[in-house]
Amino acid sequence: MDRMACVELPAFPLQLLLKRHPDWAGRPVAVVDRDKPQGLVLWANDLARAARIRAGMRYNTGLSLARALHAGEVPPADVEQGVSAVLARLRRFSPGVEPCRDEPGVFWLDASGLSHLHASLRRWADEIAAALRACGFRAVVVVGFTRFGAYAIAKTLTAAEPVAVVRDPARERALAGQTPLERLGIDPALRDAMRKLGVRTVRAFLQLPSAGVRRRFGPEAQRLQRQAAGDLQAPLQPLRVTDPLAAHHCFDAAETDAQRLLFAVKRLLDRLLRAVAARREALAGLTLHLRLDGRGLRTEQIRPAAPTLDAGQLLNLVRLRLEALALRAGVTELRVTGRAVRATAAQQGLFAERPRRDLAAANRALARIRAEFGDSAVLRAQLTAGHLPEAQFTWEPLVRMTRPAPREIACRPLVRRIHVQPLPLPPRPRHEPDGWLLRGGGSGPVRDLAGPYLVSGGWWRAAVHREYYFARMRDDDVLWIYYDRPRRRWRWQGQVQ
Amino acid sequence: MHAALWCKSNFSFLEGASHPEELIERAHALGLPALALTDRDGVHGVVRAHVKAQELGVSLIVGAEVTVAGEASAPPSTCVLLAADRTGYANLCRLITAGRLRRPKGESCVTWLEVCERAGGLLALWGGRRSLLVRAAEPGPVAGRLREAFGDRLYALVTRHRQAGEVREEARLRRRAERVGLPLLAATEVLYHTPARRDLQDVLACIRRGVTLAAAGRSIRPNAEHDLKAPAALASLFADEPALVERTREAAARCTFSLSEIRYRYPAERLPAGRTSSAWLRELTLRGARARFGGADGAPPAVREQIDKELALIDELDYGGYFLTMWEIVRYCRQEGILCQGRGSAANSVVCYCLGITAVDPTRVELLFERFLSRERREPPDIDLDIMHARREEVIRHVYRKYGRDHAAMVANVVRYRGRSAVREVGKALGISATTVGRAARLLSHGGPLDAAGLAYAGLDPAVPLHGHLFRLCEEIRGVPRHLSIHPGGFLLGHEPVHDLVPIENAARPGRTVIQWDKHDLEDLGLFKVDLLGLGALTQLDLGFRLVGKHYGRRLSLDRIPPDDPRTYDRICRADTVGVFQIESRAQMAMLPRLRPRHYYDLVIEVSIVRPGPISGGMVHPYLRRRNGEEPVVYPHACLEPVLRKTLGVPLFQEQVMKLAVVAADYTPGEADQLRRDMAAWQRTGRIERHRERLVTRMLAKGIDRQFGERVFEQIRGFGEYGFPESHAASFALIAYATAWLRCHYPDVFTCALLNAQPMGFYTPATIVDDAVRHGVEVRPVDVTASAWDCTLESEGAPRHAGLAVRMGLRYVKGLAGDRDWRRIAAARAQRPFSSLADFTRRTRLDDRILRRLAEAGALASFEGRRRAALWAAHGLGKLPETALPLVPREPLPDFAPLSESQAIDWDYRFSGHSTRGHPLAPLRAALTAQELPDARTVAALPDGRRVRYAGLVICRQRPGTATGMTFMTLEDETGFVNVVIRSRVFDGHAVLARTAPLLGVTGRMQAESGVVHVVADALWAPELPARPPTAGSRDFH
Repeated sequence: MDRMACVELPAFPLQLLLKRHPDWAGRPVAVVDRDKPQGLVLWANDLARAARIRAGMRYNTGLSLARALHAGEVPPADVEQGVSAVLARLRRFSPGVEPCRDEPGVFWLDASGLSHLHASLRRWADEIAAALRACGFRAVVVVGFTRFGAYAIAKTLTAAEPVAVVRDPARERALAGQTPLERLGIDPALRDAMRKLGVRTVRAFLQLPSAGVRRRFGPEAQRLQRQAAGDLQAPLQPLRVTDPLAAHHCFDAAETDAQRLLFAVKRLLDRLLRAVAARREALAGLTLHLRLDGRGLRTEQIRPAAPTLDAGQLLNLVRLRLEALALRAGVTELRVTGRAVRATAAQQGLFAERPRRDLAAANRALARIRAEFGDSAVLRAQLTAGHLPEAQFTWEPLVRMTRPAPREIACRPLVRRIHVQPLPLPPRPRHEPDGWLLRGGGSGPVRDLAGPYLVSGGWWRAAVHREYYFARMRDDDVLWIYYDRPRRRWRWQGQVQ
Repeated sequence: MHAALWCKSNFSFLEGASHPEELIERAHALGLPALALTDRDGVHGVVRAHVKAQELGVSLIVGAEVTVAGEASAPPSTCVLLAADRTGYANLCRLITAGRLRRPKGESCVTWLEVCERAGGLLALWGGRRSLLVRAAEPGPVAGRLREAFGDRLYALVTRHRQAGEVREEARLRRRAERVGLPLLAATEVLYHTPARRDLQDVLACIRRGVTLAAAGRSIRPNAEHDLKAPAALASLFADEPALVERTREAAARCTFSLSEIRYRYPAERLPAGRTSSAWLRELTLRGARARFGGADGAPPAVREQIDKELALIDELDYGGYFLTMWEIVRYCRQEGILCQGRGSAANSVVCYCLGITAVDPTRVELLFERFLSRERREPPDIDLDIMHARREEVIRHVYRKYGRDHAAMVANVVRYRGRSAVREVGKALGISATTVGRAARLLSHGGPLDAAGLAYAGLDPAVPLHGHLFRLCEEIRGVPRHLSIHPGGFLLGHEPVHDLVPIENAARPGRTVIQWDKHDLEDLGLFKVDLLGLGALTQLDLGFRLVGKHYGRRLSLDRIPPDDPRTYDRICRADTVGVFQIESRAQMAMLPRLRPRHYYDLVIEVSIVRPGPISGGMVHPYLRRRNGEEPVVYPHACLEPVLRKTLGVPLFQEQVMKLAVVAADYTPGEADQLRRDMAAWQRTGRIERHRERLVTRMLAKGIDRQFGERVFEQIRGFGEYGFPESHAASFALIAYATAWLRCHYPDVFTCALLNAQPMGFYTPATIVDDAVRHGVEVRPVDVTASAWDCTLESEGAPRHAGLAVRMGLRYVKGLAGDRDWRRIAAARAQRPFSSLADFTRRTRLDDRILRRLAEAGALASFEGRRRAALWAAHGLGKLPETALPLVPREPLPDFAPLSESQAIDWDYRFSGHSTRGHPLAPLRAALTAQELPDARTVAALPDGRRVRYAGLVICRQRPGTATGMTFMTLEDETGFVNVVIRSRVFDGHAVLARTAPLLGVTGRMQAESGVVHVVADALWAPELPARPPTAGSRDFH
């Protein structure tokens, strides 16, 4: 007879949160839907529950009950990541693992035939629980016969006795029947309705007329009832394992020649591209993992201008990167991984009429620059709303070139070129017989001084108070300088052209 | 020396960072000859500035920075307008009104055309970073139009704040001004009176834009140059062109308007032909006197004399129109059957009594007319009209209808930052995590200050700079206006349009408009205000009188209730006053057995004595001792006997302490009036402190004990916190007696009316129902076959001796809507009675959710006695398709477990907020008794000093400011109440339990004195019971 196991990690998001904050151990902790006082408590640990904090409560309300209540969000992406990690761990124990879609932290495992590999199913289940414990998770494991049966029994297990192996289907039905409905992850509306009707266990739920349940609570409730009755057995649907896009090569002797290294990459890349093409996808990025002889691992990211299957284009970028690298030792192992995405429509327009300004070519050129000099080599200035000159723009990576749309302006403003870091100027002497020689004698004294223009603020972190001046020198250069009052220093911010 | 012509106070909401008074004080200190208050689209702060300016001799110019709509997609621009004369001020108010009324609350926008049309009497200063004159785009024809409209009263405003960008803007402005021929004038945009307020201004700007300081960028100003500049500083800023500074004085000199010029005329009532308002008022008064005092000759000579005296003064001060208006509103209420009663100092006036505005005969309780109206004060009278809260809206609509929206507008209420709101918004602007700020705010009381200990308690470290900023800025922002809201019932009515006096703007509530001044502003300017306030107790009485008429055939009204009824006073003396107006609170109940009221005036004292004034003045116990004959009635000085005779030598009323200041401390009428004003404004300004030394020293000089003087002063401070004049208490005592009488003689009617007037009062419906049941009233549960929407009285099956039974109304079923669901039930029931649940469902067509709710509340019991079976049926029936024939599918009924008694009560509470089946603790009594926990009745009988353990449901928590950290709780069980006193040490030791536990165990010692029983708690605990009893929640006052 087929055996099926259910592994449950109770309050999985809460477990993830506590793993993220080990210092919160021994304190009341809750998972909230958003980091706001009005955020809803989704899960609470035992200490929080002891202070009467319950799911559905506002964080604010919880705080009034336990001042030390710590709370955090666990975004769906983190939960998904956690599920993937547990899934990977469970796959070591069974080839067929199905994560529950509606209730993160619940997994079904195919346990059939595993008693031949392990001393017993009990031992197998113990090992699963121990393995998850080693990863920092609390889990219960039930080996049963049906999906619902194992799941319902898992909901009755406690940390003191986290593993159960059910002898026969009849016993499973009996144990599952005793499970309180409150503990099942069912629709809250159905759960509340049953509580009001005094229907507290799975067995009592089974005694309700099936047609009546459907009419009152919908087809989902009837489906649950049929599952609980054993009338509806869905087979295990294990998650298909997709092979990662990766290929690797070990060198007999540490490779120091870039050309040979490139050919090695080419061989692996061809393999990857075939796999990507078979999936009807294109490569959006490539990662080279180079294990250096006795010098650890070096990782390089290569990003083409657009997702592509063109090996030549990719190899060209790899070549540029490898040529730019100064490896401190020979490469003993090469691993290439790829990131594939669905091919974009732009790729299908290869034969369309091209304008004189070829943006695609520009983007390819930028990709080559990035490949040769690194990602931070191609940036563009983005204006920001700050008062300090250095806060009025920021550099951001230029991912893709777009067609410019210049504005009409009536009067072209003067250009101010600023230093990356304001340059220190010597203190202004008290006596200036020859005038203020800002840059020494070379530029002569300051002819005119306009200002001060004050910029002050930042009092909430580090106070700034600058008195800006425009200084016209004897040679007609206009310098942009300021006096940093808190630090009592003159600085040269830039120049006006 | 210059005049500051562009100053914004914190009434430019979330922009300016100084109070108007601070700006004036600073201007005075700097020696500025004039200051123009030009808040953004409003004159909200001008009255405060005016009062301060008059005090310091600074010339205040009234103006505003108006927002003007841009062309097409261009953003709005601004222009500063100053009122040169009264016409200009009226034009400014009209302009702002027009801009405000076309935009949602808090916004305003006028057009250039409107600005030009309203140019008369106004000076326009055009400039600043948001004006058209400095923008890159040309202003187009606007400049020419403005020049034409304002002539030489249009100036170009050259502003300098030491910003590099201003150089280019100034060049542009100068070019354009020269082209149109505008004179230039120097200014800075003043946002705070001193640079120290810059941080607060940054925070306010962030709050306004909903950003943090770190992300604010150019949303905040680049430097701290928006302070009120000293003359030398401004001269240095404009050293290149001093003529621009000189011109500010020239412009200021052209603005001669002062708020003192506002002459207010109250709307003249439509008078009968040939009569003046004075003659008509006399006629109505005398007509009323005949009705009130009876007899063909009308009132007794003393009363007639008083009427003549009052009418003469009213005539002299030209206040007749105001009295006629109040009379008209009261007449409207009477016509429409809306119960109303005047309160406050109006109760001192026999004219008000004769006109029917008030119900207290001032000659009966020797009230002082001078407290209401006096020649010396020359202040408009203040008549507050209480109206039954259920129908107040009708009266407000009537006032709007009668006077029009131009002549009637509601008074504003300025919402200011207080403890919690300050922490929340400042914390957010500082970028502190929302949960941390929430935790800090949570630990504060609503108006409480944030101290270092409080911060640490909330997990904030004052040593961390960011948290230090939070602490500092929260203190600075406290009291800063946040926005305008609407006064509960204050109206400004005017003979001329109100928008010539003060701008009107939209309130948040659709269809409501509000003026830009609050009641303090009106008082400072001597303007009339009509207060139409909602009072739940009047609704309760109105409903009660109707029920008595309908079921007992007796016509009742406030003046038909028999006075001095001994049975009623017996009940009051026993503190059996749940639901009785004003004397139902825990503190009042504790006072009643000690004070033992036997007459109306005792009630007046009872209503006034449990107030901050007498408590903080330490007057309560001396009064009680003297009343009980435990100490002799002596007067601190012989001259005080006439003042204090009524209250046995102990000052209890606001009027008494004022009179005391005159008699014992030789206050002149002017000083006494100032004392009254300072008392009223104590929380705003703290001006009361200056009277301490003056009072005590002068009393000492007269031979009055210093200790007495100090106590009187503390009492004055208490009155400042919550003033309670005798006349006010006299009006309230009437209603208190009426409700107590109704409760004593018609408990069924009283309960029914009180339940129908909810929400109001001190107790939840659950407590009211339990109390009624304890007093022998039969209360029947909601039932769709018998209940109306409101609670009703039923004679069928009710025991004759216990009166009628109260049938709970369907309004108490949570989630049921009166206009939708009840209408369907009523319509279907009117056709014929329901034969079954299926019939009910089919004919009412109520949806599934409502049917379930009715089943859960037990309202379907007539069809299906078992509540779970009814709920199962309701689940099914609500989802059946509509068919012509009553087809119901046949199916076996599952065997549901019946609800236990405790569960049934629990369901009642959850779905209707009360239970007629019993008190939640009744089913648990056996378990409580097993733990040797007595009930409330047993506790009440325990002797003083006995140790006791008790458990009950918490129905009220109270932590009054006058109780030095004590917390008072009222616990309830099926036999009554137990009052618990918790010292701060015990409270803090069991904080979570004390704040949150709905069922609480108390260990403590009995304190029984003069029939007042308390348990003084030593420890609190959570009782362990087989089931958790439901509660209707507690009413908490912190």
